[in-house]
Amino acid sequence: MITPKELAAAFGRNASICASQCKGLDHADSLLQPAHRGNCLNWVLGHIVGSRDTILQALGAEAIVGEEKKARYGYGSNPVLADGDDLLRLEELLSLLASSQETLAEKLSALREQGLGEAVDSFMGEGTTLGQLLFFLYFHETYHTGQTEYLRQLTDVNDKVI
Amino acid sequence: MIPVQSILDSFERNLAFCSRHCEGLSHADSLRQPEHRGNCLNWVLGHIVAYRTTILRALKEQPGVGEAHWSRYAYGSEPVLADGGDLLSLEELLALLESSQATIEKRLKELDADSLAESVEWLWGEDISLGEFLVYLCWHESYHTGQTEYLRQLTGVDDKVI
Repeated sequence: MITPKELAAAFGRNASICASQCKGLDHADSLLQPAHRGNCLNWVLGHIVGSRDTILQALGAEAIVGEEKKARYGYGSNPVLADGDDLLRLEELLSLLASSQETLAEKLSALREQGLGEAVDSFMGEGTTLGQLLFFLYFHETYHTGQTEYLRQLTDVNDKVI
Repeated sequence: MIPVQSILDSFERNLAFCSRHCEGLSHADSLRQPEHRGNCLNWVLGHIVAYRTTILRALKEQPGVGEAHWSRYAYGSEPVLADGGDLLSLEELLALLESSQATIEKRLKELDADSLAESVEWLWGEDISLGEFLVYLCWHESYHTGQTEYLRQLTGVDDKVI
Protein backbone atom coordinates (compact mmCIF):
# COMPACT_ATOMS: atom_id res chain seq x y z
CA MET A 1 0.00 0.00 0.00
CA ILE A 2 2.96 2.30 0.44
CA THR A 3 6.41 1.82 -1.02
CA PRO A 4 9.69 2.44 0.85
CA LYS A 5 10.24 5.59 -1.16
CA GLU A 6 6.75 6.90 -0.37
CA LEU A 7 7.34 6.13 3.31
CA ALA A 8 10.56 8.14 3.21
CA ALA A 9 8.63 11.08 1.75
CA ALA A 10 6.00 10.68 4.45
CA PHE A 11 8.64 10.89 7.17
CA GLY A 12 10.00 13.89 5.29
CA ARG A 13 6.64 15.63 5.63
CA ASN A 14 6.88 15.32 9.42
CA ALA A 15 10.44 16.64 9.46
CA SER A 16 9.44 19.57 7.27
CA ILE A 17 6.46 20.44 9.46
CA CYS A 18 8.53 20.26 12.65
CA ALA A 19 11.08 22.60 11.05
CA SER A 20 8.32 24.99 9.97
CA GLN A 21 6.74 25.00 13.41
CA CYS A 22 10.14 25.87 14.90
CA LYS A 23 10.99 28.62 12.41
CA GLY A 24 12.13 31.76 14.18
CA LEU A 25 12.06 30.11 17.62
CA ASP A 26 15.04 29.85 19.93
CA HIS A 27 16.10 27.32 22.54
CA ALA A 28 14.40 29.29 25.32
CA ASP A 29 11.15 29.19 23.35
CA SER A 30 11.40 25.42 23.22
CA LEU A 31 11.39 25.32 27.03
CA LEU A 32 8.15 27.29 27.46
CA GLN A 33 5.71 25.22 29.48
CA PRO A 34 2.04 24.70 28.62
CA ALA A 35 -0.24 26.27 31.25
CA HIS A 36 -1.63 22.82 31.94
CA ARG A 37 -0.07 19.38 32.10
CA GLY A 38 1.94 18.62 28.98
CA ASN A 39 5.43 18.44 27.58
CA CYS A 40 7.25 21.41 26.15
CA LEU A 41 8.54 21.68 22.60
CA ASN A 42 12.07 20.66 23.60
CA TRP A 43 10.82 17.37 25.04
CA VAL A 44 8.50 16.65 22.13
CA LEU A 45 11.23 17.27 19.54
CA GLY A 46 13.74 15.32 21.61
CA HIS A 47 11.24 12.48 21.77
CA ILE A 48 10.81 12.57 17.98
CA VAL A 49 14.57 12.62 17.41
CA GLY A 50 15.11 9.77 19.89
CA SER A 51 12.52 7.74 18.03
CA ARG A 52 14.35 8.47 14.80
CA ASP A 53 17.32 6.62 16.29
CA THR A 54 15.14 3.53 16.56
CA ILE A 55 14.08 3.95 12.93
CA LEU A 56 17.64 4.42 11.70
CA GLN A 57 18.91 1.41 13.59
CA ALA A 58 16.07 -0.72 12.20
CA LEU A 59 17.24 0.34 8.74
CA GLY A 60 20.83 -0.65 9.55
CA ALA A 61 22.15 2.88 10.02
CA GLU A 62 24.10 4.36 12.92
CA ALA A 63 22.23 5.99 15.78
CA ILE A 64 22.52 9.78 15.81
CA VAL A 65 21.55 10.65 19.36
CA GLY A 66 23.12 8.12 21.70
CA GLU A 67 21.56 6.18 24.50
CA GLU A 68 21.83 8.83 27.21
CA LYS A 69 19.99 11.51 25.29
CA LYS A 70 17.55 8.99 23.90
CA ALA A 71 16.72 7.99 27.48
CA ARG A 72 16.35 11.67 28.49
CA TYR A 73 13.54 12.03 25.97
CA GLY A 74 12.17 8.50 26.00
CA TYR A 75 8.65 7.39 26.78
CA GLY A 76 7.94 8.03 30.47
CA SER A 77 11.02 10.22 30.96
CA ASN A 78 10.88 13.25 33.23
CA PRO A 79 9.38 16.34 31.66
CA VAL A 80 11.77 19.08 30.59
CA LEU A 81 10.94 21.88 33.01
CA ALA A 82 14.07 24.01 32.72
CA ASP A 83 17.29 24.24 30.76
CA GLY A 84 20.10 21.88 31.64
CA ASP A 85 23.10 19.94 30.42
CA ASP A 86 21.01 16.85 30.03
CA LEU A 87 19.14 18.42 27.15
CA LEU A 88 19.74 18.92 23.47
CA ARG A 89 19.34 22.49 22.33
CA LEU A 90 16.62 23.35 19.83
CA GLU A 91 19.21 24.00 17.12
CA GLU A 92 20.79 20.59 17.71
CA LEU A 93 17.44 18.85 17.68
CA LEU A 94 16.49 20.41 14.35
CA SER A 95 19.87 19.59 12.89
CA LEU A 96 19.59 15.96 14.04
CA LEU A 97 16.10 15.74 12.60
CA ALA A 98 17.32 17.02 9.23
CA SER A 99 20.30 14.68 9.10
CA SER A 100 18.19 11.72 10.20
CA GLN A 101 15.86 12.43 7.30
CA GLU A 102 18.71 12.28 4.80
CA THR A 103 19.90 8.93 6.10
CA LEU A 104 16.40 7.52 6.45
CA ALA A 105 15.53 8.54 2.89
CA GLU A 106 18.75 7.06 1.56
CA LYS A 107 18.21 3.76 3.34
CA LEU A 108 14.54 3.49 2.39
CA SER A 109 15.22 4.36 -1.24
CA ALA A 110 17.74 1.53 -1.41
CA LEU A 111 15.34 -0.94 0.18
CA ARG A 112 13.46 -3.30 -2.05
CA GLU A 113 9.77 -3.66 -1.28
CA GLN A 114 10.30 -7.23 -0.10
CA GLY A 115 12.66 -5.87 2.54
CA LEU A 116 9.70 -4.37 4.37
CA GLY A 117 8.35 -7.88 4.86
CA GLU A 118 11.42 -9.11 6.72
CA ALA A 119 11.11 -9.98 10.40
CA VAL A 120 12.82 -7.67 12.90
CA ASP A 121 13.50 -7.77 16.62
CA SER A 122 11.43 -5.02 18.19
CA PHE A 123 9.40 -3.91 21.17
CA MET A 124 6.33 -4.74 19.06
CA GLY A 125 6.92 -8.44 19.64
CA GLU A 126 7.70 -11.57 17.76
CA GLY A 127 6.75 -11.74 14.14
CA THR A 128 6.90 -7.97 13.58
CA THR A 129 8.08 -7.04 10.11
CA LEU A 130 10.25 -4.07 9.27
CA GLY A 131 7.29 -2.49 7.47
CA GLN A 132 5.03 -2.83 10.50
CA LEU A 133 7.67 -1.38 12.82
CA LEU A 134 8.39 1.56 10.53
CA PHE A 135 4.74 2.38 10.02
CA PHE A 136 4.08 2.29 13.76
CA LEU A 137 7.01 4.63 14.36
CA TYR A 138 5.69 6.85 11.58
CA PHE A 139 2.30 6.98 13.34
CA HIS A 140 4.04 7.79 16.64
CA GLU A 141 6.10 10.55 15.08
CA THR A 142 3.08 12.04 13.33
CA TYR A 143 1.11 12.06 16.61
CA HIS A 144 3.84 14.18 18.21
CA THR A 145 4.39 16.33 15.12
CA GLY A 146 0.81 17.57 15.45
CA GLN A 147 1.60 18.75 18.97
CA THR A 148 4.30 21.14 17.72
CA GLU A 149 1.52 23.31 16.30
CA TYR A 150 0.25 24.19 19.78
CA LEU A 151 3.72 24.42 21.29
CA ARG A 152 4.81 26.99 18.71
CA GLN A 153 1.87 29.15 19.72
CA LEU A 154 2.97 29.17 23.38
CA THR A 155 5.62 31.64 22.21
CA ASP A 156 2.86 34.07 21.19
CA VAL A 157 3.87 34.16 17.52
CA ASN A 158 0.14 34.00 16.78
CA ASP A 159 0.57 32.77 13.23
CA LYS A 160 -0.73 30.01 10.98
CA VAL A 161 2.07 27.85 9.61
CA ILE A 162 0.00 25.14 7.93
CA MET B 1 4.92 -2.64 0.69
CA ILE B 2 3.44 -1.55 3.97
CA PRO B 3 0.38 -3.78 4.39
CA VAL B 4 -3.17 -2.46 4.62
CA GLN B 5 -3.35 -3.86 8.15
CA SER B 6 -0.76 -1.29 9.31
CA ILE B 7 -2.99 1.52 8.04
CA LEU B 8 -5.98 -0.06 9.74
CA ASP B 9 -4.04 -0.36 12.98
CA SER B 10 -3.26 3.36 12.81
CA PHE B 11 -6.91 4.28 12.26
CA GLU B 12 -7.86 2.06 15.19
CA ARG B 13 -5.18 3.60 17.36
CA ASN B 14 -6.33 7.12 16.46
CA LEU B 15 -9.87 6.24 17.48
CA ALA B 16 -8.71 4.68 20.74
CA PHE B 17 -6.55 7.67 21.65
CA CYS B 18 -9.23 10.22 20.76
CA SER B 19 -11.76 8.30 22.85
CA ARG B 20 -9.44 8.03 25.81
CA HIS B 21 -8.53 11.70 25.62
CA CYS B 22 -12.24 12.54 25.76
CA GLU B 23 -13.12 10.18 28.59
CA GLY B 24 -15.04 11.96 31.31
CA LEU B 25 -15.22 15.22 29.34
CA SER B 26 -18.38 17.10 28.52
CA HIS B 27 -19.40 19.06 25.45
CA ALA B 28 -18.57 22.25 27.35
CA ASP B 29 -15.07 20.91 27.99
CA SER B 30 -14.62 20.41 24.26
CA LEU B 31 -15.21 24.13 23.71
CA ARG B 32 -12.44 25.31 26.03
CA GLN B 33 -10.02 27.53 24.18
CA PRO B 34 -6.24 27.10 24.26
CA GLU B 35 -4.56 29.98 26.05
CA HIS B 36 -2.82 30.89 22.79
CA ARG B 37 -3.78 30.57 19.12
CA GLY B 38 -5.14 27.13 18.35
CA ASN B 39 -8.32 25.17 17.81
CA CYS B 40 -10.38 23.69 20.62
CA LEU B 41 -11.14 20.00 21.08
CA ASN B 42 -14.55 20.30 19.43
CA TRP B 43 -13.02 21.67 16.25
CA VAL B 44 -10.17 19.14 16.20
CA LEU B 45 -12.53 16.19 16.67
CA GLY B 46 -14.98 17.66 14.18
CA HIS B 47 -12.09 18.01 11.74
CA ILE B 48 -11.13 14.37 12.25
CA VAL B 49 -14.76 13.29 11.74
CA ALA B 50 -15.09 15.46 8.62
CA TYR B 51 -12.13 13.74 7.03
CA ARG B 52 -13.38 10.33 8.09
CA THR B 53 -16.40 11.29 6.01
CA THR B 54 -14.06 12.01 3.11
CA ILE B 55 -12.50 8.58 3.57
CA LEU B 56 -15.92 6.91 3.63
CA ARG B 57 -16.90 8.66 0.41
CA ALA B 58 -13.69 7.53 -1.28
CA LEU B 59 -14.52 4.00 -0.16
CA LYS B 60 -17.96 4.46 -1.73
CA GLU B 61 -19.73 4.27 1.61
CA GLN B 62 -22.35 6.54 3.13
CA PRO B 63 -20.79 9.74 4.48
CA GLY B 64 -20.57 10.22 8.22
CA VAL B 65 -21.65 13.87 8.25
CA GLY B 66 -23.57 16.04 5.82
CA GLU B 67 -22.15 18.92 3.83
CA ALA B 68 -22.97 21.62 6.38
CA HIS B 69 -21.07 19.92 9.18
CA TRP B 70 -18.29 18.85 6.84
CA SER B 71 -17.74 22.48 5.86
CA ARG B 72 -17.99 23.66 9.46
CA TYR B 73 -14.96 21.60 10.41
CA ALA B 74 -12.97 21.43 7.16
CA TYR B 75 -9.48 22.79 6.57
CA GLY B 76 -9.52 26.57 6.83
CA SER B 77 -12.93 26.76 8.51
CA GLU B 78 -13.64 29.27 11.24
CA PRO B 79 -12.44 28.30 14.70
CA VAL B 80 -15.07 27.08 17.16
CA LEU B 81 -15.12 29.82 19.78
CA ALA B 82 -18.47 29.18 21.44
CA ASP B 83 -21.34 26.71 21.39
CA GLY B 84 -23.81 26.97 18.56
CA GLY B 85 -26.36 25.20 16.35
CA ASP B 86 -23.70 24.76 13.67
CA LEU B 87 -21.67 22.38 15.80
CA LEU B 88 -21.76 18.71 16.59
CA SER B 89 -21.74 17.91 20.30
CA LEU B 90 -18.80 16.03 21.76
CA GLU B 91 -21.03 12.99 22.23
CA GLU B 92 -22.12 13.08 18.57
CA LEU B 93 -18.53 13.44 17.39
CA LEU B 94 -17.35 10.46 19.39
CA ALA B 95 -20.29 8.36 18.17
CA LEU B 96 -19.54 9.28 14.54
CA LEU B 97 -15.90 8.45 15.00
CA GLU B 98 -16.76 5.09 16.51
CA SER B 99 -19.30 4.17 13.84
CA SER B 100 -16.93 5.08 11.01
CA GLN B 101 -14.30 2.64 12.25
CA ALA B 102 -16.22 -0.55 11.52
CA THR B 103 -17.01 0.57 7.98
CA ILE B 104 -13.45 1.67 7.26
CA GLU B 105 -12.13 -1.62 8.60
CA LYS B 106 -14.56 -3.70 6.54
CA ARG B 107 -13.84 -1.82 3.32
CA LEU B 108 -10.07 -1.67 3.74
CA LYS B 109 -9.95 -5.44 4.21
CA GLU B 110 -11.85 -5.86 0.93
CA LEU B 111 -9.42 -3.75 -1.11
CA ASP B 112 -6.97 -5.45 -3.43
CA ALA B 113 -3.99 -4.02 -5.30
CA ASP B 114 -6.16 -2.99 -8.25
CA SER B 115 -8.63 -1.15 -6.02
CA LEU B 116 -5.82 0.67 -4.23
CA ALA B 117 -4.39 1.78 -7.57
CA GLU B 118 -7.68 3.32 -8.73
CA SER B 119 -7.75 7.09 -9.07
CA VAL B 120 -9.65 9.26 -6.64
CA GLU B 121 -10.02 13.00 -6.70
CA TRP B 122 -7.45 14.55 -4.41
CA LEU B 123 -8.39 17.19 -1.89
CA TRP B 124 -6.76 19.81 -4.06
CA GLY B 125 -8.06 18.87 -7.50
CA GLU B 126 -5.65 16.44 -9.13
CA ASP B 127 -6.14 12.67 -8.98
CA ILE B 128 -4.10 10.28 -6.89
CA SER B 129 -4.42 6.58 -6.15
CA LEU B 130 -6.83 5.42 -3.46
CA GLY B 131 -3.88 3.88 -1.59
CA GLU B 132 -1.96 7.16 -1.43
CA PHE B 133 -5.16 8.97 -0.49
CA LEU B 134 -5.81 6.66 2.46
CA VAL B 135 -2.23 6.86 3.71
CA TYR B 136 -2.30 10.65 3.55
CA LEU B 137 -5.60 10.91 5.43
CA CYS B 138 -4.36 8.43 8.03
CA TRP B 139 -1.35 10.68 8.55
CA HIS B 140 -3.58 13.75 8.78
CA GLU B 141 -5.75 12.08 11.40
CA SER B 142 -2.77 10.95 13.51
CA TYR B 143 -1.39 14.52 13.37
CA HIS B 144 -4.57 15.88 14.91
CA THR B 145 -5.01 12.95 17.31
CA GLY B 146 -1.77 13.99 19.03
CA GLN B 147 -3.29 17.41 19.67
CA THR B 148 -6.15 15.91 21.71
CA GLU B 149 -3.60 15.10 24.43
CA TYR B 150 -3.04 18.81 25.14
CA LEU B 151 -6.69 19.74 24.64
CA ARG B 152 -7.77 17.27 27.30
CA GLN B 153 -5.43 18.94 29.76
CA LEU B 154 -7.04 22.35 29.19
CA THR B 155 -9.91 21.05 31.29
CA GLY B 156 -7.60 20.79 34.29
CA VAL B 157 -7.91 16.98 34.61
CA ASP B 158 -4.13 16.80 35.09
CA ASP B 159 -3.81 13.13 34.24
CA LYS B 160 -1.71 10.88 32.05
CA VAL B 161 -3.84 8.90 29.65
CA ILE B 162 -1.14 7.34 27.49
